[in-house]
Amino acid sequence: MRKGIVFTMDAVYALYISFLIMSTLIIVLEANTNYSDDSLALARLSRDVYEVKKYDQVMKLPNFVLNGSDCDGKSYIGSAIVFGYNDTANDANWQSKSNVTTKSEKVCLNG
Amino acid sequence: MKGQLFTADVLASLLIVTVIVAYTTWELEQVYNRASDTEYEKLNALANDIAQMAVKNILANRSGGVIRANWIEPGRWSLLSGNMSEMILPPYGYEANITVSPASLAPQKISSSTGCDNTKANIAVARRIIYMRGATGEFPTLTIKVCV
Repeated sequence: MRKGIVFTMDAVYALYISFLIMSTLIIVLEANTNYSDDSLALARLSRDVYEVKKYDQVMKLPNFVLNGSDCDGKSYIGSAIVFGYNDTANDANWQSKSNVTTKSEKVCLNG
Repeated sequence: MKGQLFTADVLASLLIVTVIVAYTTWELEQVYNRASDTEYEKLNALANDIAQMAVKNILANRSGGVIRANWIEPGRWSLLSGNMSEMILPPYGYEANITVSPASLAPQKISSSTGCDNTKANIAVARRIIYMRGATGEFPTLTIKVCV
């Protein structure tokens, strides 16, 4: 390999390759840390939807949010799974999972 | 290999130095942007947490000792105003308002002395879906803005 006063061409190529690898790693790691706050906000919104629907089943959701199947195909979706306990069920079956109810709400931002 | 001015070594090392200088410049710019992003993330977390407290507790309707989450009592609006003025101090600013139909149900907008208009460098917005007695059409929305 050709050699100058300081660097061989091998050393130059090695530096170049390690620089590329480091840059790629930094970009990938940065991209992975971006969405935690948004997912929390969406999860809270989905719980909001569950709560307000308990008070009124007729009113519509505000325009900035979509719900249920309207979110199909969206990249960022928040969902809340709410557990309830049905205490009107037969007490003899208290160990049964049939007393536990679950309901889920899925929301996403419109646009 | 040697030309009239530069050897291949000099050219290669110049290339490396150029890349390092360019990368350092880019990284400095990223650090500047990241500082702004970090500040936004802090504001965003603050706005979201205040909105969470507001809809689940501060503004929530109470009946027989039971707190009704997301059911907002306009009569408790002054409590939110008091809490926000204690939590968010200058140079930070804040705004809070409710969008509801009919508009006559909406309490007066809460705002710090500086507000959160478009001249602010960093503004975080948290929106929550709420229920208010007498509202029609769409569920009302609580909007909290925190800015600096």
